Amino acid sequence: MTAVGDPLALCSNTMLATSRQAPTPPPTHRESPMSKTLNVIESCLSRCLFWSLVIGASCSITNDCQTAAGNEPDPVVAPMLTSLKFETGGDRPIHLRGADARWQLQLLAADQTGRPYDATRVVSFSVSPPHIAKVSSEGWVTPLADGEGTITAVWNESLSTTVPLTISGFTELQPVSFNNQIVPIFTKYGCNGGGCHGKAAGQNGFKLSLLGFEPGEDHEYIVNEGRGRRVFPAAPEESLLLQKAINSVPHGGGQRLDADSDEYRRMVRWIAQGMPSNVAEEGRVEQIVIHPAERQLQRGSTQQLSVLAVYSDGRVEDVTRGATYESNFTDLAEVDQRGFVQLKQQAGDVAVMARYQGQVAVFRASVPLGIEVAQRPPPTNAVDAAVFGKLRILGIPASGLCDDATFLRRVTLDITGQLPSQKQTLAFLSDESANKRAQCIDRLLQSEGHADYFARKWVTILRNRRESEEKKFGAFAFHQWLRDQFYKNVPYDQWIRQLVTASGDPDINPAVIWYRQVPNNESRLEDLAQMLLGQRMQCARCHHHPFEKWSQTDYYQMAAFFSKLQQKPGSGPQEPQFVSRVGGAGAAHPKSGQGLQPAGLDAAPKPVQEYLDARLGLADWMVAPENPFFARTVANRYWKHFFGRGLVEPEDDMRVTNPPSNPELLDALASHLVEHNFDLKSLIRLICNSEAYQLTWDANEHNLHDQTSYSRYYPKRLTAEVLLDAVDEVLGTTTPFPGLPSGTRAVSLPDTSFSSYFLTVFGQPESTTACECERSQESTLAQSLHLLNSKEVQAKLGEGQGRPAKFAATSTEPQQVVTELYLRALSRRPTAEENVAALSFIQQHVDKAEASDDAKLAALKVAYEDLVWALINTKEFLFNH
Amino acid sequence: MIRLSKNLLAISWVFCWAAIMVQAQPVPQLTALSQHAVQVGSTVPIQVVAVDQGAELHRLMFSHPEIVAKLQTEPATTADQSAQPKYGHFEVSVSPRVPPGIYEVAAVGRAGVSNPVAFLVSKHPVVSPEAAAAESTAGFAVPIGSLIWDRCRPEQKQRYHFGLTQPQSLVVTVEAQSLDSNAIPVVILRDEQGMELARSRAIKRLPAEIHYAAADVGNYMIEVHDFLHQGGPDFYFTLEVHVDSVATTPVTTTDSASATSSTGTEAEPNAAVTTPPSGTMADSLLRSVDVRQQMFRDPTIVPALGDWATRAGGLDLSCLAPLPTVETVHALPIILSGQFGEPSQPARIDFQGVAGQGIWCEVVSASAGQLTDPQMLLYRVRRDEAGTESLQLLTHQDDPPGVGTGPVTIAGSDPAFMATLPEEGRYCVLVMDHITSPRPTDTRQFVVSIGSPQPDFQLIAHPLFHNNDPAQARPSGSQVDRGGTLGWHVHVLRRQGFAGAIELTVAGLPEGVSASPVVVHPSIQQAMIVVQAEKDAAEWCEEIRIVGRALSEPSLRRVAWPATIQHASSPRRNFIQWSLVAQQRLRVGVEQEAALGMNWASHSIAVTPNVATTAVLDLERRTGGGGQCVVRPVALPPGWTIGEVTVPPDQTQANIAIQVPAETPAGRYTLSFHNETKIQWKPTAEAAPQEVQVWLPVPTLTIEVAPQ
Repeated sequence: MTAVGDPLALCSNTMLATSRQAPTPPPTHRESPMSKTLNVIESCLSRCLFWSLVIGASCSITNDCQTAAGNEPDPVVAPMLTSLKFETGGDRPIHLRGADARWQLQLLAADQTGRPYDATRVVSFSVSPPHIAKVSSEGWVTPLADGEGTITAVWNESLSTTVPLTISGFTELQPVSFNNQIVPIFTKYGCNGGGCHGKAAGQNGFKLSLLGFEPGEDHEYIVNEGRGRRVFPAAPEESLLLQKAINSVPHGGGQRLDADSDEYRRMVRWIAQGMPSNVAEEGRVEQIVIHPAERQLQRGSTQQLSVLAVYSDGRVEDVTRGATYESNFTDLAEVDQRGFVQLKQQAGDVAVMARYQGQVAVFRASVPLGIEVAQRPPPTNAVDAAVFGKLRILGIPASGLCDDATFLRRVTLDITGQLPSQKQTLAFLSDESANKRAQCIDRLLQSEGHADYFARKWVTILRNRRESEEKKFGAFAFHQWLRDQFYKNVPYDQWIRQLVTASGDPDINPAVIWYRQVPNNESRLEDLAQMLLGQRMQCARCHHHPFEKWSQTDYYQMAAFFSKLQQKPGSGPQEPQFVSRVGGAGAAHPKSGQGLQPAGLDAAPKPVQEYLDARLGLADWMVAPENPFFARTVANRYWKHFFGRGLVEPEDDMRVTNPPSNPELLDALASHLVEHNFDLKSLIRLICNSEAYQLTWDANEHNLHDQTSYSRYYPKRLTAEVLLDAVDEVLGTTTPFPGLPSGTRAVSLPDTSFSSYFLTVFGQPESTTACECERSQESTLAQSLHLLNSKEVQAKLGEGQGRPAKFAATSTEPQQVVTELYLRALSRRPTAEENVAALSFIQQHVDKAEASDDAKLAALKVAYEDLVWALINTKEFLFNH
Repeated sequence: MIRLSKNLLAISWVFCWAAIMVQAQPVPQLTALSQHAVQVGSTVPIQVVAVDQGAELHRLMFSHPEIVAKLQTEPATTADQSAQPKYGHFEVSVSPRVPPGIYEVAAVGRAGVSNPVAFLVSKHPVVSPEAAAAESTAGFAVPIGSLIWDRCRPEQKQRYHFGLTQPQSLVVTVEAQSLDSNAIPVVILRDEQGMELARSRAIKRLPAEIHYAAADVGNYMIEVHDFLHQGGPDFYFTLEVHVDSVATTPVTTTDSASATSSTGTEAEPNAAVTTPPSGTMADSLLRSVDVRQQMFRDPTIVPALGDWATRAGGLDLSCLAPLPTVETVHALPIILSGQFGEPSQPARIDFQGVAGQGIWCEVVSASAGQLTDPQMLLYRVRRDEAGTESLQLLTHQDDPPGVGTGPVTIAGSDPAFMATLPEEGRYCVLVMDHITSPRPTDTRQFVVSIGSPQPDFQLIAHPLFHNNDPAQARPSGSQVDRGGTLGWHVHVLRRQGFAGAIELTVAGLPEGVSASPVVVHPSIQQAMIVVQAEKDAAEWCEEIRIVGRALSEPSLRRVAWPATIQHASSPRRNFIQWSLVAQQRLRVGVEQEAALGMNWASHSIAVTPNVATTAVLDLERRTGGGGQCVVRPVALPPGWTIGEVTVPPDQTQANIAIQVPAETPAGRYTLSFHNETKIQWKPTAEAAPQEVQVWLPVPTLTIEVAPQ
């Protein structure tokens, strides 16, 4: 372990990004860490603000360290190619109909090793005969005249390939489709986005439907609203709509279109044609197809995408430049709005979403590091099989296993949210049994700490908070109910069923408090979908989901499950009962008014008997083993809990356009959960017993920048509650929470309504949403200052009943004190170097004191306080590693 | 059963007047004694530790005559002085003949007799640990087989420990709310290493209880705390560790049917002593293996089920048929018992009916203390030629309508409704439980009855409220001063189609105290009954009974069930907790004369619809009664309007204009009024008079509406 006990570690990225194997470790971090510690202690004993600021400022950039270095894309250097062919359509001829038709060419090549390579932008194109079309250097084909010919691509004058080309209908007057040709322009250029004219109130008097989901309304807004002043068929170029778009009259959004662009010309033609609302019997986009859908690419390489729209009338059209693109992990790859993907130097998996006319498609790229990975022993479980299998494909060598001390601290914090006790640490370190790690995991899962910690995790996203004292009983009861589920290890599907169908008096059935806390059916639907199914349905309340397939029909069908839910008076105003009334369950489509029966996502509507609670059907559908969302969502959530990063990020946004970094692993976790009857402890056992979980955080020379493949353990800052408890544990102090018994741990708090600056500054969520993202895990200057200089922490350090004071008062041997403090704070013994430095520091303090016993004792207490202070400010303490 | 379940009552508050800050009438409000549990055959010192208006508390009244309290005295300090009474301190003796059970106790002082609170008589020794012992880390050593009496302390956990020398099945029980405690106890059982083995929270009046098969010998730890970590004198509880060889079998009573004779008729429930079952511990008095016994042992439930069954030839409670496991078509009347199962599986009872037949359908469950919230649906069952069944919903009910329009509305959660069958054929009733959480089977049971309606009524009486603000409502005792008045609010629960007028009277009043009968019109569901003491009435304190008689059927008489507030609302739990109690007591106070006397010039006046008439209320202003008076009507018949009348301090007469609507049927009506005024009141003999604003009940006024 390097730089342990070094408050300067807070200033560095030692724990996170550098390592003993790191190529260029900052020299200041390598030299004599403990002497550095003591120097800092010396200079900071007066709680020097200078150090606080330095440490705090450095801390705030800690999380960026990992991604900031060495990730700039290298210039693309074309390798030696050995083959070349047109990709989209293969050898089939390209047929463009009409002057508006376009085509994105893609050239697939292979390098000397046979690996695929996108050569679209490294070849030169020619058209024969040249008058029928032109091809840009980016492979964009524009028709010029009717005719037949070929397009030839040549690389380095050594490789070439040809594809037939047919142009027809170039001179025919093609009616412009408002729905299919005009509305996508607004979407592509952000005009109908939520931040502009697409928001509910529009922008500066001009409104468009969000992302063009209501083209009929858009036509009305453009053509008829404002007394028709936005379009001028007699002189289309003079139309306000176009003048604004090219910014020839002042436009708040600036220039969106070029007057020389295809889009501009198309809009001119549409206006000139009299602004038809729609073309008779035209098709609508039923699907978009992205090419390629999946590919292994080299770091720093590029890939041109092409997107084809498939219409309901059978037409297929290239919409590569009409679609919008988004990368789910910009550290790995970025994409421009022409569908050109540029990879960076980081290895891993990345997905690029293409969206057009409400349809989405995803390109997935696997980017190997390409290092030869040594053969590992056969995997011990499904997690290892999936993780190490992926690492082998990516060519990323994993770090080694962590030592026992690190494992104990890591797994105890992850399962119980508390530090291992000194006794537990010593017992574990001296235990020589082969399966002691598995036994440790079992012991932790049996503990109250586990129930407390996971109840805390869930109450925050179940919105258990109280705005008034009257809600206290309900908040406490709901928390206790949840804790019971974890302590008794009630299968996940069972307690979720109880939650979803909760009915009756909160005194008897505290799960109904969730319905009190989430006060309307829309929010209930949205919370459940996000928490339990990983589906964010909020958008679909008002319009078709922009990144997903969910429509308003999907939304209100699911909302119909709650339509019979009724609140009736309970014991008190804040303890209402929730019951299902007798009658039919259903909802009306907000736009069409069509009656909708309850239905799960992607499930067929199912009528509900009038006397039954419709939510029973929701629970049946939700927890069914074959539900594609339920098990995968909680598996991903738990994976993130233990690994710091979800297989899908964010963990509750499991869109088709946001695929998992390791789909096989997510499937394996979900399958395990289903096969084990949704036993969450079994899932935790699977995860924690894996070698993948037990890897050291220490990066090897290859995996420092890996953030998605789990080739090493990703250190994570202790959460607010865990950190506060840990500080108290090391100091032997308690934090008072009004109305609760002394000694109540922060992770045991029943809700998030207890006032604590410590918890607030370290990111405790307010529980106002169902999103775990409410919990901030950022590192900030305020956090550093709080730990270093706050009255709260200073008071704890000087607490008369605290550990430093007791050590001093009981004349405990300094050697024992140092060892105990290291064991309590870091779950390990001090190294010899640390030991010498710490004892020397203590002795110096005592020596400097006046000769009296009291003065010596006081000096000893201060020395112990300073030593603890230094320890709790180390990154090794602040992070679970 | 001596203590009555509160479960029949779920009280919600409704404001009918603007909230006016008026102090409660100064009567004792008892919250806690130093000890509410005593071993049978013992004598223990007991102190009143939490009481408001508790001056000169000199007597404790128990609901069993062989539980007696003797006021302690302090030795004389001088030779010429006799021993001085030590108010509020008593020696309580429980005769060996008193069966263990939960009784009631009220304190009597200068300001009157207090509200009753629970008092437990146990056959086991009662141990009250030192506070320090229970608060220590090690905790207090629990003698198995004894009853621990203790209190929750704010933000603390009480700890207890015991050892086992062999594996045992344990039952750990903590009672609180059944003893009128304010605590919501949580009990946690831990092993020697501190590992949590089991925990339980009390729900409503059921105790926190753990059944645990202890396989390991050694020490065990028990933690008890209030769920909201509150504490204080009124957060008391009893803790029992019971070793049982068959731990999974709930504790049973040995004589659970002994209290089932009470039916709520006039002779009961206010008989001086109702013998409780000879249970062993508080727990056993509250629950039983057999829910039917539990239900009908509790006298509050019998009238809920309906006397028609009893009158029809007696109800053999032990012979209630369980719900059929297969579909059966029953003949009416039906009384079946069952247990709520999965939410998706309602209980179904099929029966054959005839066209025009009136039926009364009722479920009894929550009102019997079960942790349920039933709803009931009545269907016409049809089958087509292929035998496919279809159900046509005729009616359904979740909760019955609340009763009362004053500050208090009484509502239950057990459905009960009348229905008329439209045609001959097959019908079915579905019974379901709203509550979906897992619960012990003995808390999910119900009885369903379907049969011809037998009109009946129930009465519930509680002290008048002296304030419309629920936040100000407190447990209330009663006292009528010489020359003064005192009233009770009576709620009428009409059942099974009963629509007649009811005459209310007060039985058991002493000489010098009287109450005019009150007629509750069929359209009215609440009334006020007022007692009035003569100026020379003697001091007296005993039980009284408010009795209702159906005017149309004089043999139909019911005694009102007394009810009291157990706990006022608090910022943390903003509602009032109620309980039915065994006895309604009245004290006639002689310490000071009532500040204001009120009498109608004529207690009965005849009126003709649509013709204005004036009723004259004479005010006799005495010492401290010189304030302005505002006389307001209470709970008028529908359509009647009578304005409030303000009487200036210098006047002694209120002229109240009465004009009844033209459509008012002829007959006898009783009108109730209260008088809001300020009086001078002395809390003790030596204290200076205090000015308090009160609502004084006005003697009732009888209106004879002449036929048109």
